[in-house]
Amino acid sequence: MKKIQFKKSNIDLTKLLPLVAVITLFTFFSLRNSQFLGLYNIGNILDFANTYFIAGIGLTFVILIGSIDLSIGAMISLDTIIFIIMINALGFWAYPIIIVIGIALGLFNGVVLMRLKIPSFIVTLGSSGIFMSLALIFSGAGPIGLVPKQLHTLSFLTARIGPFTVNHLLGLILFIVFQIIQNKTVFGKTVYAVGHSEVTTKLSGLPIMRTKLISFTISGLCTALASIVIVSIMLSAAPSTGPPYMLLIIATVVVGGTSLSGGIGGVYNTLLGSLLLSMLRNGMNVIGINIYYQQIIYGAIIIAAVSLTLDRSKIKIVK
Amino acid sequence: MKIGSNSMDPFLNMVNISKSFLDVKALQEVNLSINENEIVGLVGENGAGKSTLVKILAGVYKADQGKISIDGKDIYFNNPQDAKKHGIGIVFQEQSILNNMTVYENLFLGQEKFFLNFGVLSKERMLKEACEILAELDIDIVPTRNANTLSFVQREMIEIARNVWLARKSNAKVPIILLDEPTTALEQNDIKFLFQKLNELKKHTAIIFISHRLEEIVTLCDRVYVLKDGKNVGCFSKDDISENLLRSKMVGKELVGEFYQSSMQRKAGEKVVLELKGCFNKHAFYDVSFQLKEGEILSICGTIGSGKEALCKAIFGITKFDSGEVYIDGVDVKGSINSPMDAFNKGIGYIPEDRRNEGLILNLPIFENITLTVLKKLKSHGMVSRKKQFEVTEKMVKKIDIRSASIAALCKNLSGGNQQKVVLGKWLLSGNKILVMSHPTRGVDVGAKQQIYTLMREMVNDGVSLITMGDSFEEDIGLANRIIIMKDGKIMTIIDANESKPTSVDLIKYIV
Repeated sequence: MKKIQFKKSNIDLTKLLPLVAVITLFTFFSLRNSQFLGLYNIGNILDFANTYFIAGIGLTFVILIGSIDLSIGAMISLDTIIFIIMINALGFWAYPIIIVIGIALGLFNGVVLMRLKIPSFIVTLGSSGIFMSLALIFSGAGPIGLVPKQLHTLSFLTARIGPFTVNHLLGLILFIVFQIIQNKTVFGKTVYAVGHSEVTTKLSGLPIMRTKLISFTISGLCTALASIVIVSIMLSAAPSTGPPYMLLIIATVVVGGTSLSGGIGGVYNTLLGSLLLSMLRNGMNVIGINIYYQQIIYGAIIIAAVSLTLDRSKIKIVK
Repeated sequence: MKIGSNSMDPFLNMVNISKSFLDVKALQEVNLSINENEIVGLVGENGAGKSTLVKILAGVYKADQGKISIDGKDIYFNNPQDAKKHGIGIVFQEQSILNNMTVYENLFLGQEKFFLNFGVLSKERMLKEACEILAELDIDIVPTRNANTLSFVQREMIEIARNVWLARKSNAKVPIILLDEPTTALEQNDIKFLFQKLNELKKHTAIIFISHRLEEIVTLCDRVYVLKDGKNVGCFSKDDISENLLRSKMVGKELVGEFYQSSMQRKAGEKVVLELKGCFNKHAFYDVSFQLKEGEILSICGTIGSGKEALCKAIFGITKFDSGEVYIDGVDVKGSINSPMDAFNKGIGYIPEDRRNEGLILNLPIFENITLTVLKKLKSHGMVSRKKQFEVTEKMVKKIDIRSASIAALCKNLSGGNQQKVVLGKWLLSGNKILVMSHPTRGVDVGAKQQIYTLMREMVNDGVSLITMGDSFEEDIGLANRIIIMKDGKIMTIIDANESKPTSVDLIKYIV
């Protein structure tokens, strides 16, 4: 069989640009400050990136099909609270329980979207309110700490080998698994097809609704896994835990090069996006940029990233 | 009459207008003129270039070549606003009346600047002018009424009034009103009413009237231009017009024959693969019954609004049958086809008219597009094998002669003909035995057309059954074993084209 020739023009800029950005940032901060390459600091960067990456995987699939999930912040609040309550009460049983709950929350979003046929933006904004209320109710509106005797159920996750922890291993495994799901399964192929052209995909006899449902379910699952990581680091949870994550998780996905208009990008991009944001944040701290100014940088790069990756031919009117 | 202008010149004159879209020549050196107090008709088959010509006159498109003059002076339009300044207004098929506004607001939509008092809209002046123009044109509608309470013909009258008023306001000498198939959605009484109004209106305007209903053209128009394949094929004055004359001019020379590979045509099998009994859709068609035999090409003819598009969509589960029975291979499937996916699983395929947006994923390569229908079959160890994707694509590309440097080329970079072959390839791979094809050769060049016809013949030989809606009567006649003719949502007749081919005139008889 003839070998398939990929011409130069086929080199995918959405895959290359974030990689260049990651390397540039890394070099820049390493040269500016010798502390940046320290073991402790590298561990810090990985911790931060890992959390956003894991939560971002689910959102990546949702954004690839051209939808959005705005309930992730509230889901993190609810997941972390339920998780810590369950650990305190049941120990290791908390893990399977929180995974089932995460799947259920994602499924809820997907089913509402499927049944009512309203934009995902509204569905998840609405469910975000519901999840937040549940988080307040379950927690009694305050923080919940880990009971000391259950410390061992969590501490293995943050045990360090060099700069690495078990959490990072989880991130790596998820990267491999979802990279395969994305590129090698009928579901993954359908996700890209739906993102590029829902009508064509539908008229090719592929299951649109099931694909959307699974995407939102993955989002719920990944959020639950991220919640485990968050609790393992903070050893407590509160209703206010989740919301600050929302903006930066979206940023992670879009800065990596996944297009909000759907069909372009992927898990690999989200990995780079998480490293990019994490190094940026860490680097700004290390070279001493005031935290008050950092939000300006995040906001600006979200706008820049989206304007670079959006397929405007799909959007008739900018609202 | 202005000094210096020749009284023999027509008021509006379009000379040698040409226009191409990419490689499709929509108009080639077309002429059209019109005088004051005249209604000029414009007829032609779908794709003959009527709408393109009118849109050039309205400033929506720019002509590649040719010139337009009004009252002896050359004019150039860069946008619809320029055309409006010269008194040219268009009433589109898809109406531009906003439902959430009143009649007078709609009348002056976009022209509010004429009614400003220190930056504030003067409702009084708007109402006054609205009453004046409506009274002058003898339109009996209260200006404060909400537009959503108006009937279709009333909306058209409002649009006409809007154009006349604007032409006046721009000091145009004669308002020129373009009507693009204004009767498509009207009942008999409304059409009569509209014609009566147009005959009054022409006393102080010039009107260009597009319709595919020839009897309307014959009754209403003072002169008629006939377009075919983007060229003038005739201009006739009222005394010479007859429906028969227009028909033969529209269709032109009959070129049924080898172009459609008719010698490859074979008799359909005996087995009935698809049968509809008394199918009904409350918006589009009534009491539709027919059988599709194995290895048959069945054409469905009819104008826009005849219900044929909706019928084909219903067969593929895109829209639904409100009642009736559907049998596939003799098994009742009514109720179990609710989506394209269901239809797909029952062995039906659909080739949509809008190839770029509905047939293909332009930003994905050929091999991803062509294998969309068979992803499940290309799995090994639960994963879609790229190697198998490449293999089946390579085979298909060779078989149906898709010309591209690589099967990894993005579909958006292919020519129209090759794009359509990718769509056909996708369905050939699927192995589905019933294919519904909506305008399979639209916008592809002649060479690719013939290849697609050959391909359709080969598919039929392999036992696939086709339902097609062609781009022209010649195509339908040339390809089909049998031709279903639809009008106003009903099947008028089914013509057998197995032994001898009917002519286009035979078909039009049932349609117009």
